[in-house]
Amino acid sequence: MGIVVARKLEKKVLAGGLAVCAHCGNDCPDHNFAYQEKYFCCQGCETVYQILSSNELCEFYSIDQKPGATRVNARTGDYSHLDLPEIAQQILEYQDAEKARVSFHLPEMHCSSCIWLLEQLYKINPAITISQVDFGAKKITLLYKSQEVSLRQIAELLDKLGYPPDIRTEADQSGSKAANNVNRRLVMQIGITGFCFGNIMLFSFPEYLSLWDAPEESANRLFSLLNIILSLPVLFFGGFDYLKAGWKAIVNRQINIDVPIAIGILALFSWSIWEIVSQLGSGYLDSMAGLIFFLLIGKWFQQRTYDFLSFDRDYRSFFPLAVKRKTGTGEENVPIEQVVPGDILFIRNQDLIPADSLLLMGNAMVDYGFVTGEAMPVSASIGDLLYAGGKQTGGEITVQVQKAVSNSHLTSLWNRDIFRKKDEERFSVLIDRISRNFTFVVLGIATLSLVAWWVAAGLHTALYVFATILIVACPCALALTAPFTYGNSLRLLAKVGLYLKNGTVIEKMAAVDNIVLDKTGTLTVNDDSEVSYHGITIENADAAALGAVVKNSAHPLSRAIAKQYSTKQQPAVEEFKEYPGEGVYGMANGVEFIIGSRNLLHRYQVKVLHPVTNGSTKSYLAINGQFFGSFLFSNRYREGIEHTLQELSSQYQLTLLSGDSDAEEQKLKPLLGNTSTLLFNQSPADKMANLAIIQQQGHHVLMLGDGLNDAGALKQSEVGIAVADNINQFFPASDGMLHAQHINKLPQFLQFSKDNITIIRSCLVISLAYNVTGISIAVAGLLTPLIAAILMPLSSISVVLAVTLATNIMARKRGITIKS
Amino acid sequence: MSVIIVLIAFSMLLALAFLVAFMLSMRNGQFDDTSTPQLRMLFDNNAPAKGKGSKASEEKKL
Repeated sequence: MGIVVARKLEKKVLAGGLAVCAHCGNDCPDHNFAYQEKYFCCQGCETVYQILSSNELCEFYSIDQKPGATRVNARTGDYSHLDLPEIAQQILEYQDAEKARVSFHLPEMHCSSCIWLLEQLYKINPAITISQVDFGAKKITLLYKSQEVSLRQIAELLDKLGYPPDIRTEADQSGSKAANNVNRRLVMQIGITGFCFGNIMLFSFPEYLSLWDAPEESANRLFSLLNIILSLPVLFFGGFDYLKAGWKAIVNRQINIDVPIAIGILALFSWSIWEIVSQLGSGYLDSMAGLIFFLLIGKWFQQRTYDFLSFDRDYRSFFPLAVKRKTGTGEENVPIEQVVPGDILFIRNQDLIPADSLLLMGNAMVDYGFVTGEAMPVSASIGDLLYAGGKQTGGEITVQVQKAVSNSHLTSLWNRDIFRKKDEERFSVLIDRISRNFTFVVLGIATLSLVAWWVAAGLHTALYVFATILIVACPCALALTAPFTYGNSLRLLAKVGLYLKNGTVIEKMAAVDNIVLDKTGTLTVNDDSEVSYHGITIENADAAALGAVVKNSAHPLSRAIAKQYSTKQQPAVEEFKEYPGEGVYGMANGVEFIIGSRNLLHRYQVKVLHPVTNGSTKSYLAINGQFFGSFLFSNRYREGIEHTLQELSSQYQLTLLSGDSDAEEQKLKPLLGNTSTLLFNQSPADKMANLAIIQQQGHHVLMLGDGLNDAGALKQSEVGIAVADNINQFFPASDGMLHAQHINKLPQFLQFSKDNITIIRSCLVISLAYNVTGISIAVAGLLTPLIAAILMPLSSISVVLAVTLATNIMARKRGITIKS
Repeated sequence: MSVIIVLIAFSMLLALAFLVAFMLSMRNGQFDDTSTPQLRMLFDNNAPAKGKGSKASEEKKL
């Protein structure tokens, strides 16, 4: 099977005479990588194929469409730090003398072929005894013989196969583990409560149908007794959380939705026991079990989380676990926490600088994209201070650490109080506010009836009415409205690329009146800039040669120019020289090119005739020693963003906080509206402070950002939403994650959150109507077990149906659906 | 009437057995991952095509 598919791919040759990569299915740029008559686009893809074919695992290519992910830009990671016992200890879940168990998060896992391959790892390395994939969480759990294979080798194998593990320490993982335990307990509660509920209903059937008459009294007693036994686990296991929460709320003197629920549950239970024991009737244990069962279902519905997303990562998830430190004789791996000022570290290409450090040696080209939002790498000279969070692009550099990792310019942001505060999550502020009033009204009515009936008909009747009112007023529908509305909305929003942490975020979104935006990476596309050329026209042949020359450089500006001048037939480059931080010199087709800074052109005795004076990023071009013109670089904005911003500015006050220079202020101002504020050169701390100022004016702020430099502002805002190009990408702690391609739907999302509030309000009216009807029947003393048994689930089910239907309709109306 | 009591006792025992089974499977983590098994069951257990015979027949197909 596998061979057939692979051969099909091989036969699929493009018009230009180039083949399609047998691993990832992309077009091959050339035929340099071939193995067993198959062609590959890059070394990485070929390696994966070689491993698979030598282990007879080519079935991988037949299970799913295009299973292989391209490895063109992938670089093999360095996992040598996994050999350090203190790091391995943090990662391993279990370890004894022979075996060890570890879980890795594999963001690249995407199809059923991946599952198949990853569960066959034992065929590649027999020391791996068990490998099990959790596809939803994109996680693999491995059991291996620690004597025969090391953790590092396993990580390297996964990387080589195209699944670089995203290694997190135990501290990061504990969150998901705790969530898993909570989830297990909830399902257990639902299972047991459901079991008891069903059986109690069964034993109550004769009661509903009034089947009992005198001779069968003994069976009646038995059924009632069984009901009591069955109701105990419901109350003490299923309803435990509600009783506890209600008690806590009373102790804290903060009446919320948990209080009337707890009162209702207790009233139902104690009245039923009293009735059964004193042989007055058979109680309402079925209603109690049903109530708790529905409440638990509602909780479960809302609690569904996105296993593969983590909403509370800090810089530690982004920074490496270990770095290379210089020792007397050579270098050693050292965990990042143990790096102290004065240490000398080696930072290689694409590595992060873990702490504020002085540059000692090497050509530093630091990409501060995550710290400032500025996409262009900055060159530094020996003795310059490099900030933590910058990424070295180019050769290896040697640096001396000046500050500890956690106290550096960027990371000290996380030492602030706002990041320590663990925010208490109330699932709905709106519901809590309503239930406060509701509780007082119900308690008032119940007490008044108690007094009135006591005077009129004695204590026994009075207690009966009191208990009945509390029972009927139990706000089951009230408590179910929010979880089902938010739960369903979260699901609908996730389908179109907005992943929210929980339902409360929807409520907060509806209250927002101010939107703060980041520029780079949020409004603009990362790693891509618009190039415009100003100067003497470049002839076609020269343009092709120019493209060929700049293609040799990995610098973002060179890549942007190369993209502009890429042609099918490029001449060979005869000479090429790169000046880090300055530009490139090259020769192709017999033409000599110099592209770069003014300094570089001067070095080649070329005078810059028309220097660019505004603040924008530029490169000068000289051909054959003659000045030609200049390339101007500007950010590339996301498609359709102008329209979105205009739509937003008509309803919201907009603010732009950018870490970038103000070169594009003129362009942005009209888009954001006349009342908007635009602030540039903002440090991460500035962003946070400016956001707090807006909040102090009484505004509710939604922050849209990306990257670590926005982390403070995202946390500070009421609703912090991270924008990311793909969901596997790292994003800082936030309330939600928005897929960048759906950023244009933001106005609709905000409108939908307001619709949610409307839906909840109208359903509250329905549920209150139920309660009023119930209470009037009860006050009149007419409530029979049959009516109670019907009324309780009917109100719950109708509310659940109504909100689910309403959210679906509103989502369609707002255009929040997947286009099929 | 006593027959009902016996029946009830047996039915409760049976139901409890299922409840215990559920609780055990829950504790073993059978419900932790509900998305992978549905994909895993589609995989064939047979080894990928080996030897010349199968290869030749596949080449004929192409």
